[in-house]
Amino acid sequence: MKRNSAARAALLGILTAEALALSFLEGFIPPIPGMPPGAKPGLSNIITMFTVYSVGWHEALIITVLKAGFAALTRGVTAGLMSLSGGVLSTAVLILLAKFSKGRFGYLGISVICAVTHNFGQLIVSFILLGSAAVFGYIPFLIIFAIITGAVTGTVLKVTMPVLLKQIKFSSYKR
Amino acid sequence: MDKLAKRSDILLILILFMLALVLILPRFFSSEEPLTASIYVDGELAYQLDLSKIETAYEIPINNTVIVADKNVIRFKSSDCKDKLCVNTGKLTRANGVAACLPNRVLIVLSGGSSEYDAITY
Repeated sequence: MKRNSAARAALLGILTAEALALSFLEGFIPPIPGMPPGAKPGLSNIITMFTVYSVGWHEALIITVLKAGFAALTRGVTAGLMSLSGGVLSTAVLILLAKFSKGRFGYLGISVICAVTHNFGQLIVSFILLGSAAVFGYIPFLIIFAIITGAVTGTVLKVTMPVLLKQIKFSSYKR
Repeated sequence: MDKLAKRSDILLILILFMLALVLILPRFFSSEEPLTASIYVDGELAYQLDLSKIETAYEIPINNTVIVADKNVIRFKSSDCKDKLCVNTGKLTRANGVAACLPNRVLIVLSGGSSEYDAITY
């Protein structure tokens, strides 16, 4: 269902602001011992997933790129690159899953997959920047961390999605 | 409202968890003592230190970061970068330990086994 463009722009603005606020607030979480430095819960993935399922995949990609730009402005170019690589890879996988997985996975499984691919995208950038395969030693820890954070975001989404969808009446993908 | 998790979700998580465990396991058998620290800048090996042979701690200033090497321990002491992830990584004391400063492209990797020399500068 198509709504007028003003409503769409307003919604996109709100979602982007929420994604930025969540990723900014995450910055205050202290480093978790035993986990790779800079590992974050990825709460803004809640917004990205909501956007893909209820607004559209173009909008989700736009939010992801804007979020990376925000990271670059506030935390430096490297942080921006990390956000962009992880964000674009995981959002791309998310979009493909939303379109083609035909409900094989629930929100829980999909957000775990997104968390894993997000970490993997960041790992590739750190591999390129540092020029050493030693960073891949983080893989098992990143997988475990992704399972935990993905389960959190997936559960939040599962609980809030029905309520939020009632508020916004246009849905582009059926779940 | 249907269930919180589908069977495929649980299966996926279990498979990922097993994969991580399989990848972690070898580490518990590889904690040999003499540690060698390799410091890379821009992907090139810059220093190689035998940490077991260090008597007194010393600092290595490199590419806007300062690394402190001591007996069997090495860490980033400071860096001019914004996020300070390298400093927050803390001390590296085990083989396969990794600390990195991405903005300055400095990487420390610990490996087991002693090298022939106390320290090599490249």
